Amino acid sequence: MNAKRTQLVAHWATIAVLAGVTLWMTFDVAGFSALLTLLVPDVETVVYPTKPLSTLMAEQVTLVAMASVIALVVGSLLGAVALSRIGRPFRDIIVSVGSLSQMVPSVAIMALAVPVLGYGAEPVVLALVLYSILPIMLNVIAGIEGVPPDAYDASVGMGMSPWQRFFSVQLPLAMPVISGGIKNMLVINVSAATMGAVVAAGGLGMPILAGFHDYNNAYILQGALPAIMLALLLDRLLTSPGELTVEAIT
Amino acid sequence: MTQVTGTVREHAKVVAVTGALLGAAAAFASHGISFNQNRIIEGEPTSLVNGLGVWGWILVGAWVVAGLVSLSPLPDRIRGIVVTVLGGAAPVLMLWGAGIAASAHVAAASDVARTSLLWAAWLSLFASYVVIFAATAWLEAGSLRAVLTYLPVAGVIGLALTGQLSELAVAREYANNAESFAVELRLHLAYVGGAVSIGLISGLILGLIAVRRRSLEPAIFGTLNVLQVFPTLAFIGLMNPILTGASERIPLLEALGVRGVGWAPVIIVLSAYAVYPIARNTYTSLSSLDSDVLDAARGVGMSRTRMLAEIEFPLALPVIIAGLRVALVQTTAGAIVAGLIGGGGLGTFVFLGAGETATDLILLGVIPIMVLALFFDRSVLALQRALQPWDTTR
Repeated sequence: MNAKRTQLVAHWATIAVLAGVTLWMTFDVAGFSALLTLLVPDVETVVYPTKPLSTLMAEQVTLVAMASVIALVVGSLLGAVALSRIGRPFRDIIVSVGSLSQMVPSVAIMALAVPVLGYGAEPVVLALVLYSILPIMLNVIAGIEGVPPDAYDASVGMGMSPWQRFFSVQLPLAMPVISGGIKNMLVINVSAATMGAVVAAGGLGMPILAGFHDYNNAYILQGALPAIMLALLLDRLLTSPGELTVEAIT
Repeated sequence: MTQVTGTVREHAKVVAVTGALLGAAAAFASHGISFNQNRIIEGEPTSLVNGLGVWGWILVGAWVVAGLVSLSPLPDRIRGIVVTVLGGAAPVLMLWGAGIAASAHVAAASDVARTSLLWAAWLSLFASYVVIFAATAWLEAGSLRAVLTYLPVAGVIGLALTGQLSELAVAREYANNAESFAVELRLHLAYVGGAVSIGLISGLILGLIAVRRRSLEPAIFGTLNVLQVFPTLAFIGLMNPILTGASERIPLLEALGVRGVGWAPVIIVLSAYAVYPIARNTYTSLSSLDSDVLDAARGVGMSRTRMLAEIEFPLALPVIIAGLRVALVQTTAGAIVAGLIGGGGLGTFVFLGAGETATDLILLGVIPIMVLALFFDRSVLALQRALQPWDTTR
């Protein structure tokens, strides 16, 4: 099993490096500025003046965390409802609407929510939640439906209550599929939260937009590099070591 | 999960009634339509029933009848036809009524007055989708079902072409921006076409390489996965210094108009996202073909190239096309970002509208994006089904 160990070491080494780089960019202002000066030699101000990067990163993580937790709770509940006897008729329409939701750009939802919710974090959290509920729901449905019938039958035979069955048999067996959904949601949310700068929600998109506005590539990289690192870090954290299942997307 | 048709039709009843109730509730909800003084200052929101007068009540009537017919013991076919037609008539009635109310408002107030549809009106459209989705389960697949499903689309297009909707705020925004709308729409389509074509060609090649050279598979999909994870705005931002530098050093790129902003970063980023679903589906479909078929082909002495062209590729095609569908829908929505960095496209209106909180200007960008995405989705799905006549799932 040496190959497996190498894989495991490589996996955690990657995570450690990504985490290290993300933290370094966020907190070592002098060091990161030196790198930016090296990359973009011809700009006058290197450091984005409005807010320190640590604040921006905190805003970004807060946006993603809030939206993801809400979406996870609501999405799982709705998924469970769709699988219950009451909700079963709605399963197909939920799946259909789930695929429809991919057609609306998340930044459009943010922009449309501004007149109602004002500028700031609220429209972004709303857009992220609306955008993430459906994938979570679809993955809960797909995961539970993919549980082998034998396992389910055995749990019925053991005399478990429906709730017990759901939490101690179906949910654990469906977890790989559901965690895949959570990973996708987080990656999408990091991307959408960056876009949240358009409606003045703070986060790492702010220096990127400011950089486009002032023709300052140092600002742009100051937002872009940590955002990319954060997204990669979350992606790696939620991928099991050596996971190479390439499945068709339909 | 395969289910007996009986329960599907029983389920359809519940869903259709829920949809009809949702539609009726939306007609009474407080934010159906608003009559504003001008494009920025919002007027008092009112319900569709209040705002559309008699049309609002006809709309409610359509929903009630649709709900009652869904519950009735009529034969499935009749029920399917009636409820689908009523569910489809609702949005046409609503928009027609709104168009008439908007004309009356402009005549009564002033030329700069605007009439906007609010969230309850959009909820009403969603209710139609739910009802039609459910009611078509009572109909056999075929041309009748297809025609009835798309009847409301034809109705709305008819209303728009005959000028019935031209006083609604979205249409007024269009009229004010007609010339630039045509330009941005073409540009948006060019971005989608260009990025998806690049994605399709590179996706097919990379997928094929991964199948033929298994040792390269982790490297290929590892790289594509990393690109997939890049946040859009950060990715576009990252391209800016790279492309600016490249353009300064390479005269040819400069001559082509490659700069840190504009079309070049948009095409690169959208292509990078579009490659993934196509490469992934190419790889999985080619690597999971039935070995008996391949052995038979080898047995009759086919060359590798001929086998790929005549056996493997045609068998894998439906799955590859499913990947193409995902890429098309994603790119159509994703191309909105071009409007943020001076690349044009329909996103221009969205970000312009976001800057001045003009909801109807935002919608002028969003509605065509959704319509295009839906159109691409359904067309490619139809193509997929045509290639797989044995697959009758909806």
